[in-house]
Amino acid sequence: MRDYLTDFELMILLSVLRLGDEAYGVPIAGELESTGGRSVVLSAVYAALDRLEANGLVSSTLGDPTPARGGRAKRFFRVTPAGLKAVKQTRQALTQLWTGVPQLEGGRQ
Amino acid sequence: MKACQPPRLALALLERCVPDNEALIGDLVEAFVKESNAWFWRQALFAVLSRTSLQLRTKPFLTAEKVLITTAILALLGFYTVVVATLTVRLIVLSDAWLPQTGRFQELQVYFAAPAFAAAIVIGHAIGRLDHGHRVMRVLGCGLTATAAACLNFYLFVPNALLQPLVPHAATQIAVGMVFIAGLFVGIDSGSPCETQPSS
Repeated sequence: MRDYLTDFELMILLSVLRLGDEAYGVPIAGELESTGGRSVVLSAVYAALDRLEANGLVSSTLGDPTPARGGRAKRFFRVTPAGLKAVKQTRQALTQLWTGVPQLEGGRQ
Repeated sequence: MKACQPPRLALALLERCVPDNEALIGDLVEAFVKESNAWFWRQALFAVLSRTSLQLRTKPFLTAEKVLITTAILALLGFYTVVVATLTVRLIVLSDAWLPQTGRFQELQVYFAAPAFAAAIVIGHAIGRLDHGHRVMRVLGCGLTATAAACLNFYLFVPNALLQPLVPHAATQIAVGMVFIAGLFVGIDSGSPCETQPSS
């Protein structure tokens, strides 16, 4: 398994964390769209979630089928302890990269 | 609020190509209420391409087999259309001494593909408006339209079509038939009834 997450994986994990018990495809894509300001392809979100699940960073459970979805079930995601650890490690790495860059400090261009 | 279903062909494509991802299909159906047909098609095509790409990496032979079968079915339908059109033209020639000059626009045939596809979508849309109880009419409509298009293709783009053996320029004519039939399928799918009702 990689030590750090890609930016898309990190955004997905943060969206799942923010959504809590309501984290399934549509609201996750909504969070990504409102944050990133551009349209998101749902299959790309699922591909990343499948990869994260295979790496043990998220887990998923199926909900009940609903008529609004043509009788199809929702797949709810949760971040695992390993996923939370990966998010923290990535934040730490990014913070370290952020510090000591003159262009990003104190109003200088 | 929209009360209609998403494009049936796109949905069928998803159910056929991504059968094990019920959650993704359900999400797309749910989100479609606020989106357009074009949005659904884009999402469906990305999902299918993404799955195909994954399958190509994991099961290359199985994926190649599926692609070949789909192409073969479309080619077979195109071939039947061309054969029926050729036979129809032969009947016209046998029953009458009328021998129109054909193939006057031979060099424009390539440019004909895009408008033919667009026309097929429009015609398919009209056929798709037929009620579900008229399936035989739909099949007949498709067959007759495709045959008429193939006849028109002979008349406009195949030089001396009436004097040539069966199925002149077979490969080109079948390719034209495939494009037209694909357009018909797309049009029929988009022609499904879709009512808009006010939200309560």
